Amino acid sequence: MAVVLAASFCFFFYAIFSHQYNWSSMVPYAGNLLAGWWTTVWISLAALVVSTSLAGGLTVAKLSEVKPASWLANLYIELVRGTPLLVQLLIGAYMLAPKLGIGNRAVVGVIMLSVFAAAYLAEIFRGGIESIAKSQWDSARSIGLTERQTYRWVVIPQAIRRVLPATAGQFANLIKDSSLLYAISVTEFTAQARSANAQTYSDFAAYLPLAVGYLVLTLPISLWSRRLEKRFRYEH
Amino acid sequence: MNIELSNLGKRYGETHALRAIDLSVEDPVRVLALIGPSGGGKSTLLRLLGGLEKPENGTVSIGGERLATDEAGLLAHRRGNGFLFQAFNLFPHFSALENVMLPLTEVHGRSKIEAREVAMAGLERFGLADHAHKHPAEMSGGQQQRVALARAIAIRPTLLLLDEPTSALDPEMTAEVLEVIEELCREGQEIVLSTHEMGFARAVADEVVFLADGQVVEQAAAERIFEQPESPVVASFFSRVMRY
Repeated sequence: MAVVLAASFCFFFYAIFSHQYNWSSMVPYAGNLLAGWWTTVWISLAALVVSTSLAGGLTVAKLSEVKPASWLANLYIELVRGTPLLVQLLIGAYMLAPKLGIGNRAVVGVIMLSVFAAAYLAEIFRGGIESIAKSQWDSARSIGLTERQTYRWVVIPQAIRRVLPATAGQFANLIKDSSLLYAISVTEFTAQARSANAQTYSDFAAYLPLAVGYLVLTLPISLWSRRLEKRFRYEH
Repeated sequence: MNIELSNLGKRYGETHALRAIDLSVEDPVRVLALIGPSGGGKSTLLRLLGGLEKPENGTVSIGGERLATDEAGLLAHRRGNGFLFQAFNLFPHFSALENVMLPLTEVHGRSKIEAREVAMAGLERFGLADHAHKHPAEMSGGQQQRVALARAIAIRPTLLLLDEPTSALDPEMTAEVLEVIEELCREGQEIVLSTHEMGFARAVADEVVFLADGQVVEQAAAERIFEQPESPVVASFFSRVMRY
């Protein structure tokens, strides 16, 4: 296993570094790449906020005593998780958005990414809430807290700590998934890199900065989540 | 205390936890101990008295008032009484002090400053002043139970319900918790407790109820039941648990 892993790494680095890159040809496109990266950043940030709120609503619906609400939330989650993001993007951008009169593709991208990520986040949130032991509910009831107060003071604060790692992972996924938006002609980071490569004729020089550009966004998230985890580690 | 149970029954699925029991406990009884084998119905009865469960049939009256069966009425009932479980009473993300303050500020409308004073006084009284800012995970089981007791007492409960408060503790910690409970008994706090500590039940209780298989097997003054149990079931239970 270790040998296979080491060999794969060697091949990986060999493939990357043996290539003769023509960096100078990229210089004229640096501005475009940066603009694309910036588009990726704001689309991801917007989708992060929207998807978290949407996921909050879905979680409430799913845990609700009102059967139709939890049934609808389930249907939503299963539909979104059961189909590829690319297919959802195509349907959203070419079938739904024109009917709804949304012309701006970046906005369509934010909406579709949010819809997608919310389904996964909602499942993470529900898992976190259901992982809180029954004894905590008992204890909260015994001191006279209402159901709402129990969520506010007892369940959610503990659930947040438990779902942080998975949530951070989902946020990183969201940023990476935004690279698919080039398929619906959003001029984000990946689209700019592809176009830079195409215009300089079969040169892959833009793909390395592309990978680095995503890492710059996802690494801080994983570091931040680790720090938060440490801060919340009061239980053991 | 004044507790009247009439035809009180509770089931969990197919299991009859309480089978239509009748019970009457009146002043001058202030401390009532529930004893008997595990699974005999002690916890269920305490949970019904505390308004944590609804009975399938029958009624509970405390202090001459019939206990509500709707959620709002039960909530009001829970707010006026204290309840202590075997373990895991505290909220792990709050410090000891915050645990005691929470019901004061959120349920009983005290200001933060006021709640802090009351909570600190309670913790000091139970010898926990040095632990006020620790989280439950940083305290021993005995300390945690004493914090939970401080929290239950802080609201000046009408009735204090203790469900096997020491059965998750080692002997030393058991002693430190029983000491605190004994002090509360001496002060005249009305208490209903279930326990496996027979010596303790005998020392603090005025009245003892022996529950087995969801039924009241015997009810008597503490001295009497331990000296001369009437029921052979109770006598055989004592001979088994007090053998060593």
